[in-house]
Amino acid sequence: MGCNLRDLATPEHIELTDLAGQKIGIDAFLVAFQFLTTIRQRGDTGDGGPLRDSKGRVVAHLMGFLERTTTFLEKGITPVWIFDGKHPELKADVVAERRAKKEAAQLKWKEALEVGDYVEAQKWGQRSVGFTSQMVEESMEMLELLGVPAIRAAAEGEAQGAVMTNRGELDGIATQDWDALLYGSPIMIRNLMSAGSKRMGKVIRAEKIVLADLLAEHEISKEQLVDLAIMIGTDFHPGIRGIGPKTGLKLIKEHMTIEAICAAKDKEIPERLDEIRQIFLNHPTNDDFDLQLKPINMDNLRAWLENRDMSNARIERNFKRLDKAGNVRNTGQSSLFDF
Amino acid sequence: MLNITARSDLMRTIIDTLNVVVEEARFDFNEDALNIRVVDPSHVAMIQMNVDAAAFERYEVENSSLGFDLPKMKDLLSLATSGDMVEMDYDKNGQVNINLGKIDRVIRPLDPANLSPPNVPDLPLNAMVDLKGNDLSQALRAARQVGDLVNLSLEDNLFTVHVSGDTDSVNVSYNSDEVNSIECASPVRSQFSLTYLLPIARIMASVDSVRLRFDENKPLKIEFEFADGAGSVTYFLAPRVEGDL
Repeated sequence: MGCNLRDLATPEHIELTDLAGQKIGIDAFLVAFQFLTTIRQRGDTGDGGPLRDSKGRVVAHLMGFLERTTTFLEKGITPVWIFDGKHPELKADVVAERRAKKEAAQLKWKEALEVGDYVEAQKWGQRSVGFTSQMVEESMEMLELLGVPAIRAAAEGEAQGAVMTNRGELDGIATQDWDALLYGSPIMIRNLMSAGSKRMGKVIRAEKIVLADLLAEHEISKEQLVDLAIMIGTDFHPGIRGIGPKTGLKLIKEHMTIEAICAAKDKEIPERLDEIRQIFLNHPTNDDFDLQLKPINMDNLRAWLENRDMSNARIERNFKRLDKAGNVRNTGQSSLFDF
Repeated sequence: MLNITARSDLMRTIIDTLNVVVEEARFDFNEDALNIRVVDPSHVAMIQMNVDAAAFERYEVENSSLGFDLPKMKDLLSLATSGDMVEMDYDKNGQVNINLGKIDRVIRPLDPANLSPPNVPDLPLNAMVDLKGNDLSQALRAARQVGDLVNLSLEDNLFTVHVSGDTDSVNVSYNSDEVNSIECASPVRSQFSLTYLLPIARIMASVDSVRLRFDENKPLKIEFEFADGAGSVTYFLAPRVEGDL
């Protein structure tokens, strides 16, 4: 997923509270998958698929959006959920490959269920989940009830967030996908969702990457960074064989562009290079959005959540937190961070 | 290392004041003062508090930050009578030992990392009135009898607390002779929620000098001192504004 620029970045640890008062774009698909793959039917005879309501509709992702939105509002952060739109045609190979993998997993899942092998089913169930457009619509419907902005990107979600951050409409984009920097986001935040949780005994901390610092550290321009990433390999092109971050960085500093590098090293220039560059440097956006937080109508939200079999305990717990967060903040009550 | 002794009244003032805004607070003990900054979860009210080492009977501190559950502290302090001393020390086992007369209480402090202090807003506020805490408290209590949203205004050297309800209204005014001082270049007016304002007004009811700073549709800033000037509080409150924010 995206190009791995970790080796080039010097992330700075941050706390959720450091983002109080800010509008943060959030890669919604990441959160959706995080919950679809973890909130599952796990009992001994659970089929391993995502949690569903009594009508068979998947609700695991909704729990994720509800819990996360509550947490952000609690910390005084305005979450701006950004959903992927139409993938660029150049990504077709990657998308097709993901789909094939999922379909294979679905087949194995079905087989395992038929023979009653629930251990195997759990494994394949997790790999079979998809985030359908129906689920996207439901998520956006619920987020609207929660009074927080939700945007359908023109194309790639992290790109929409990056461009909006660059235009000053957002204070940063939270995603795991390093491509956000290639799309020109001045600020990218990683691990925002898992901050505080433990993985392999280590506490995960949110981190901030500042594009200008990264460029200054390596003395390259944004255009050079994009060329470097294309050589390493992106969702739109496998990259140039034999060039990783280290070699690539040395070459791009010396030769400035991919064309010059290919000429000097006798390599083939990637196909449709300019188109790929344009995806990063000039990404289309959906500009129809409203970033204001709206007060929450508890009755409407409750009815909607009850309709999805959301447990009373879960609803009450979140409502209490939202109420405390003041996002049931009465209309007209400003926040100190508005000034 | 932390070893302090304080009059129970001082501890009570600190805890009660902070508890107006939050349930949990991070106490930053520095070598010469205790500093605390807290903001309520909805970011409507904030308190910045400084307590000089001189306010304590004993203050032996190496820089340390401790998180406290305020209602828990309040419960403990409710056992003290005026004049009692509270001794507090923080040992290397991560426990806070509090002694109050015959009572030895051990408290495990909250993780200060989860209680990051907020940034204090930097606001130019042009209107100022300094008055008795009791006068302000009374005016606000009168206001509460009519509604939840109170208008504060300052014009022509007149400070006015005003509420218009559906049927009733209330007006409390003080001219420059009736308050400690007034500064006001042009008339200003802002509206605030009494749900937030009244609890802090109760805290400062016995203070001689309470300094209010506000402006047109800007936050309110209230400053007052306690412990003979060794402690100071700055309270911020976001205004009610017309339309969406």
